Amino acid sequence: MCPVSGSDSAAPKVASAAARSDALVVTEDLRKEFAAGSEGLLARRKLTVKAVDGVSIEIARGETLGLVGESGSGKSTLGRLILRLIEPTGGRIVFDGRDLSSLGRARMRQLRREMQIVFQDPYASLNPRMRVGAIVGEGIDIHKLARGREKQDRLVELLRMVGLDADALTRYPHEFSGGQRQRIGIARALSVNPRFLVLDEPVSALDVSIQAQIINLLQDLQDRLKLTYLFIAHDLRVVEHISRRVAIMYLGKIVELGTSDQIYSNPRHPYTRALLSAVPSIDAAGKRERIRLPGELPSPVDPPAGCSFHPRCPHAKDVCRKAVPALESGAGGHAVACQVFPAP
Amino acid sequence: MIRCNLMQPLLEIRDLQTSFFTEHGEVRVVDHVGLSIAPGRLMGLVGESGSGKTITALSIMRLLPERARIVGGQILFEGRDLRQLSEEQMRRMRGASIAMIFQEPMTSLNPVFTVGSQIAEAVRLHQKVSRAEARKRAIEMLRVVKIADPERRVDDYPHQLSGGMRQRVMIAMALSCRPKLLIADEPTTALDVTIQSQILDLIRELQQQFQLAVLLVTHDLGIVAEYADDITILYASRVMEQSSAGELFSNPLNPYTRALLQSIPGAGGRHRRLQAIPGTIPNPADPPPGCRFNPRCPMAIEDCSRIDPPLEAKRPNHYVSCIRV
Repeated sequence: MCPVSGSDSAAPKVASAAARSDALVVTEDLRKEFAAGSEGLLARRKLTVKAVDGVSIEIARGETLGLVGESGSGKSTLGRLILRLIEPTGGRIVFDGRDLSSLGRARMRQLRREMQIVFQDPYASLNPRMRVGAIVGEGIDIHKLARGREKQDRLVELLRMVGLDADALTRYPHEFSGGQRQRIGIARALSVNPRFLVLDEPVSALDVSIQAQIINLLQDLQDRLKLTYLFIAHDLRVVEHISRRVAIMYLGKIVELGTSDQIYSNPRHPYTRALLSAVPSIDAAGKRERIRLPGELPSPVDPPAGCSFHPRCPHAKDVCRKAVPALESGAGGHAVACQVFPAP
Repeated sequence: MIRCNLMQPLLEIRDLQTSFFTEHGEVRVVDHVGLSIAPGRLMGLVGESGSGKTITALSIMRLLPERARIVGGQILFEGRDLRQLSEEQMRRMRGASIAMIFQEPMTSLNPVFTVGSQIAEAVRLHQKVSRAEARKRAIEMLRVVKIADPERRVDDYPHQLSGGMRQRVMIAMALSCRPKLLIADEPTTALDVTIQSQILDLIRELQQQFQLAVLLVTHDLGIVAEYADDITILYASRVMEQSSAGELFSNPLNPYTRALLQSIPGAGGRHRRLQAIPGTIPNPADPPPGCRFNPRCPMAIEDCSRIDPPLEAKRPNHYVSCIRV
């Protein structure tokens, strides 16, 4: 067993992971703390939220890593940290062998061309006063990728790639449906020829009949452009469908990580199992035992000691109240952070 | 329409038509919708955006937005047409006989009053009880919806509660006057999946405990597969299919229902390419002629854009509006 997470994980192991040639994105013990006010007379105790608490993951070239968690799990923060849209409190991000944390502003901006993000809400993430051509073309201008006729051709090509007609260029976002707006958001992300996309709940706001269109589009684009995805979502079925590997996050930590098959057919962590059993599904209706989790996600300002899942865990033992479980990797790379149900 | 042989329906909607009146004219958003619910049954009303599912629910409550109006049909509650009631009679009906909960509990809870006082107010609105009695009832209702430590929670303000707890408070408030019909409009859409199952389990338990009729409005076929007794599928303001839940999922007949089931991930093996439904949901102001689904339908023939398909029984107690079935 080799520890791949937690503050006490051995540095050389992590470094060797970073050296793996097939990993495009590697995070090592990544942390983000947010100030959450202060407590006590004269504010003697500063409160912090550990939104991301020592996350070490790698994403191989051309793969989709699904990242699942409920609200407050830190999944969106992790996505933004990897792009350095927010600055980490600690840890490292390595992109294609380059350590992002040491890059200056100008170099980072250059590199950002290679890593883009698609947001959840296709209504809020497009400027309503800009025409689609200006929205999709902004990145091309900023990075000076094309001008004039060449830029125009590129815009038409981008729209075609996401399934929109060229006449969309002169229209405004409000003239499009939710699904079409998400296509515009994807075209904008692709405009600078990225290699890596963070997809932050890209289909959660869409109608069921439209969701599948966008999921298929994302898969086609990945094949065609050799893209690498971090797919963040709370919908376990969508993640299962699109991801090769899946990470489950709870209160800032990865609690389980493995291939789709390992996670969905042989979940180990009690939280993963409860999560999977809570998804209402057509296939399983009335056929299975639901694992009921008592209570809700505890406040991340004051997380429980030991394993942060223990107050809701049906299998918690004494050790769970004391020691923080490390994410340990077992057979076939299936990693679990649980002292009662360790990796297989 | 589903006829329940065992019991008289508590609610029976017949041929409901509701429209928005805009500067561009009348826009029909609920078009000849019918359904019925018996006591102790849960009807899932399923649809995507623009299907008319929420406006159907608001039509029953007669709580429509200002520009919307019921233009036809009947809403029979225990045999009485709610459309014929005076505003005062309808006001007494809401809460006492029919209650509704919404997606966002925070928009229905007043942030400056404790949850206990809000439940107590709902009780005193409909029943002549003392303040002390109403407070006791509030605590009892919090216990019914399984809020731990109700004697203390009764004095909490809404912001002190999590999303799941607030939805429990809403349910407590909705059921405080022992209504016979509960309308729940996407009650768990804003909640995380583990909390969602807690709330839906609670609704089902209360439904059985109080023999409630429930109309559950949702976009999620998985939810109705697990919780509904009967299902009505809406698309672009019309009923596409209606049957018991078991029948619907073992024999989906309308091409829209089938396409919807096909497009859900996980319903046919991992990494299979999803069968997306092409095109977009029609604009209610400019619906396609004939069957509303015909421009996106893989089975459409020319007649589909000419004929409005009637809702007909294609199997026992299984109603479908499609000329191709």
